[in-house]
Amino acid sequence: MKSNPLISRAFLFGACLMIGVELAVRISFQDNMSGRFEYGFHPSAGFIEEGGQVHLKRTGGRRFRPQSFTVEPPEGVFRVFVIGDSVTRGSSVESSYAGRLAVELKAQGISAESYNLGIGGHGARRKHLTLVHSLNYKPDLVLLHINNSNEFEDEREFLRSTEFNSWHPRNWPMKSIALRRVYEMKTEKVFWKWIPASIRMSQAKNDADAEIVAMSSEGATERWNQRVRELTGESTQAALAKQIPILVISQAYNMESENQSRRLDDNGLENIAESQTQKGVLHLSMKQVLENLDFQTLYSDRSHLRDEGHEAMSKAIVQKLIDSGIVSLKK
Amino acid sequence: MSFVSLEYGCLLLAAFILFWVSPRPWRIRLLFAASYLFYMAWDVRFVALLLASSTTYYLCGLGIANRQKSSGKITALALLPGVWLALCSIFEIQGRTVSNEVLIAAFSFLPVMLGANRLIGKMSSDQGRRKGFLWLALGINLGLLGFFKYFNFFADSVGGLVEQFGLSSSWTLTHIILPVGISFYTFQAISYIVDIKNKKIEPTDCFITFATYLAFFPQLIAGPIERSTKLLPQLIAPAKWNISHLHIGLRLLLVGFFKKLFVADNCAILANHVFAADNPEINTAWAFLGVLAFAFQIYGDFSGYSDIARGSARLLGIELSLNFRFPYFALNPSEFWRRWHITLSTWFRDYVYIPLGGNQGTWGATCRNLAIAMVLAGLWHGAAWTFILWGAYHACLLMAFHYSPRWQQACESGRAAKLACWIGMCGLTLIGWAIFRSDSMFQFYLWFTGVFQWQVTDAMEWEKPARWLLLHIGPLLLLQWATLKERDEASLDHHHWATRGFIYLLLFVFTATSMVNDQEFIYFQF
Repeated sequence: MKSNPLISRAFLFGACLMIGVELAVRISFQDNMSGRFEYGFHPSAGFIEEGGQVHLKRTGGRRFRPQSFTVEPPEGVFRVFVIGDSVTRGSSVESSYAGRLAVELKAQGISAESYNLGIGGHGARRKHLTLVHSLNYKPDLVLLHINNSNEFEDEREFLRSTEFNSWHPRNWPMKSIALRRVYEMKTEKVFWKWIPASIRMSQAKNDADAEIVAMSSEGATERWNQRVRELTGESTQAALAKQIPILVISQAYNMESENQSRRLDDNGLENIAESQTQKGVLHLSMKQVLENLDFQTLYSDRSHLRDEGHEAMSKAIVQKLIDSGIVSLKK
Repeated sequence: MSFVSLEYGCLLLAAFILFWVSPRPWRIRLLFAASYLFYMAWDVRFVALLLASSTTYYLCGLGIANRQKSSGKITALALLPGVWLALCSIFEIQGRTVSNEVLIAAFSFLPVMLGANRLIGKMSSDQGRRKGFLWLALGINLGLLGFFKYFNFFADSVGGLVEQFGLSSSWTLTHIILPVGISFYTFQAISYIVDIKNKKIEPTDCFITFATYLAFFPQLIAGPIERSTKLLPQLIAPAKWNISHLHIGLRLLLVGFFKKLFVADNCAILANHVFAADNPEINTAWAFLGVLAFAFQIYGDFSGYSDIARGSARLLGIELSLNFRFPYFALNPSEFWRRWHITLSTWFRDYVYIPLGGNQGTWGATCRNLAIAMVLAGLWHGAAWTFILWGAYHACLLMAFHYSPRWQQACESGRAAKLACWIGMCGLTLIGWAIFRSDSMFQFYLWFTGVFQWQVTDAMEWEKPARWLLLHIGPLLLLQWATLKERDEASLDHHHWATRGFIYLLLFVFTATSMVNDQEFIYFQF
């Protein structure tokens, strides 16, 4: 009598097919694999080094706007990295204050290159990781845009990263990039687009809802500000340890007052940034820069700037660098 | 301990390995331990109920067959529920508390069993003794089922009725928690005792074997409701190892998880919206979409559960009964009930409908028998008026079919007539599901009126959600098409191995990418 094998041919064929698809996807999306499952907490995700060049890429782990620079800074060129979140990121590299900075510096007769390392949703923890890695590429100046509206998201993604890398079997299927991509496609392209928002919000575990709940909890802003304070301190120390000056930009929010008029609110961030100032650490208040202008026209919403707002910020940053002597000292 | 949990996976894996490496005599003890461990995970206190049911049916089964046990053994068994609850109370297992009243009730089981055993055992007539033990077993266990499942419902209904007459129902009632699986294991036990009484089977002398029959963990919580003639022999003489147990078991698990995680949980998103309390946005499109989503949710949920149960049991060499066989391909209500929850419908047929006289009597008697069986089947699902209405509705459909020769002929005629029957049956089934899913009669009224509301100002667009529904029922329908030639929905044996492998891969991908929602199985509440 013929005995059955331990693994049936059908199961074996299915498994081989799965492995084949997985390998094909991994080869096809090789660039996308950098830090794929670290939720932004990978130390070097998105920084791809190739033949003396560093490419900032939109990978699974960190979604930079694509830019390239040399590993070693060009002789006589002032290199600036701008680390931040969606405010820094802007609608394009060219229109963001990070991208304009080089243009503004060149207009002042200073040879410069500036790079936008802003990633939407990144809070103090993930900004710190990006900053620490960027210091390896010897910038002449680092700009750190601090904010406190992404701390919930930062914490959530940190927990997800920790959970995902735990041993629990429920995470095993998603470690396959092929399954992961199907899942993400289903979630982002189908679930979010085909199911009305009110149904999603009333039934699914919705990130936006969870954030609203977290924000309404007592002392949330205080706790998040404390974290921003600690991590901004660590970031400035990391820069100073490499003798690289750092400019901390404190975010300002476009808020509605009780009398329906608009006002700028720093949400405690000015105090945090100011407390870090010392030799080599500067502070630029977004509130102070914009409140003397017609700021309502410079914002697209509560936090984000229009292109005109970015232009105003880049001019103010350059002025700050000149006033503080950082640019003239170097050049 | 849900089937969709790591704990269950560990339990099943451990049971699988230990079962096959253990000597055969030890296997039944292993299954007993695993089953009680599984039940304890829900609530340790409910184990006392399971022990009480097992003891009653075991002793009464022996009593019917005139195989008396010693008073010492009866005492030991009848003390089990009380001792268990006392241990729960002393050690505060799972932090559960047990009140003194409950402890007294549990320990009073001993004098009841001893007294009844002595009283009934002394009966001179064999027929009287058999009936006595039968009614003792039914009385105690249907009493427990009635108390735990229906007490709140009847108390609330009586309270409502009293208030209708302008009187105040000021009594305060303790909310009774429904022990999981009680409806399933009670029915399984009834089939055992009635079959002994009808001399279809011999009772088992081993308490552990009988307790395992009642508590066998893959089917304890939501069936299939097994018959003693099928399951007991497999427990008494465990199967020999064969690799096909592993292959078939894994395939059933894969198909079951696909139905539950991919089909049911994703359809639930739309069904839950339409049947949310006082939803004012229901128009014709949404009413149809919601009930269609629920039809596939409940099918995916329950048949998925059944496949997981069958797969788990098969890994242990035990074959459980088929519970579903393409129910939505039915052309008439009679066929629907031969395809939907087969083990429950055949149970009601064999233990309620036929004993009442079945269709052998007059027109009126047949209608009465159908009505009783179906209303009880509705009530079995839950203590609510909507379930009673659902049972009555299906009774009406069965009567209409039974006494409509044209309908019966149409189901046997050409393709066009069959297609018309199928479309009609789908519509009737969906109306039934709307009754079943509604939380109250008022909600069913809202849904029903919504069916005729073509335009509702606030209604959301429905085209994209319809696509979502199609995306999740399409693969299920394709799977059903692929297995239509087989007796078992999950069998793909007639396909080439490469085709089977490809289907397994697709099922795995669909399932793995849907493991986000964490929805409980619907039938766990019954």
